[in-house]
Amino acid sequence: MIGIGLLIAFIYSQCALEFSLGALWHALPLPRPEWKAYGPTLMWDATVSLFAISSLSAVQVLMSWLSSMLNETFPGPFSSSTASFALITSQLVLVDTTLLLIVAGVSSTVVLEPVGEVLARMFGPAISGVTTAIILWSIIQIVISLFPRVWLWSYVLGVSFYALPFRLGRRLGAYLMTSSIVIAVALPILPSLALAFQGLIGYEGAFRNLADLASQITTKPLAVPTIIASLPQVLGTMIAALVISLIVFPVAYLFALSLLARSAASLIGGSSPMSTSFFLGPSRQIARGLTD
Amino acid sequence: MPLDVLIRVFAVLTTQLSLTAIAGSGLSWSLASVIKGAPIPLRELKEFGQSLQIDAIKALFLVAIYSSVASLIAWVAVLLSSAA
Repeated sequence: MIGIGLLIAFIYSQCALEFSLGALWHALPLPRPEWKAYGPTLMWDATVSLFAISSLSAVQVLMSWLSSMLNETFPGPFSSSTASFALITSQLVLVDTTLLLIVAGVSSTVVLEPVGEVLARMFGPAISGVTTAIILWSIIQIVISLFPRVWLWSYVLGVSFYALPFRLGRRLGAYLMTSSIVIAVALPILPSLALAFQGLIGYEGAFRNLADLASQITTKPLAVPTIIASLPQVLGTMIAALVISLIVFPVAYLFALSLLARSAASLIGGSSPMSTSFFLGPSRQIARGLTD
Repeated sequence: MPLDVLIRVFAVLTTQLSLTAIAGSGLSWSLASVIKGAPIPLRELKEFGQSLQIDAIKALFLVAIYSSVASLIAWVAVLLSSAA
């Protein structure tokens, strides 16, 4: 196993090599200015990579500051992400089990078997959606628990690709660097944010209405038909809030994070295709000169 | 190839490239002086010689700066590792 210090030393030596290559390029008596332009670019890239690897501690401090600021801005219903995950998983498992039990219960009766088939067709996508959400949340939980130990490697590996001469791994490196920072800062607040969002769109109100209906069944037996009639609306509101906050919201959040990481990657120079222009640029120039 | 061997190879290569860059600067400088001093009445050629000279000085200066910074980083790293 390679130590992180060795990898950082490797990046330093890589930067030094790139810089000296750029200096050599710049010093050579090349006749065409467009060829000579690669020298300053190489030196600039080496300096930027050196700055990126030297400011590792600054990035760590910035990340912890951002994390604490986000935690203070969006305080979740629970302070620990373990409790949030337990609540989210229990809610999803409850919905999954309820839907399965409804379908299985109705299908098991001989008279209502066709209704059961219709219900199975209706609930099938919902059940698979909820199961997918359970798997997604489990993956998020694993990533959140593992990432504090992995992010530094991911960042340093990103700088290592970023520092490759002639911008060969610049795009991948920039993406690795930014995504490691974005994931480490923004992913741990996702469970609390999802639960806060769930409360915002009316899950608790729907749950309270359901509890009221359940208490009315025992206290007012004559109102049972009315209660049963209002049951689908209350259940529908609750399940809609659950689906939006625990299935749609995390997917949208992850998508937004990926967009943020891509934007940040292009901001730090991950979108400049110098490798193509480096290998093809001079030949294009020569070809243009030959055709003129 | 282990990473520490690669680091050593890179260090040797960097030294050789820096030395070559210094030699290249000398070459560019002399070539530029020849071009500038030659009795050829072409303005573009004189300007090319001038730019060659400027680039040679710039490259020398940058190599010196970078070597100083790299030496400083290495010195601080040795200092920190010996203190730890």
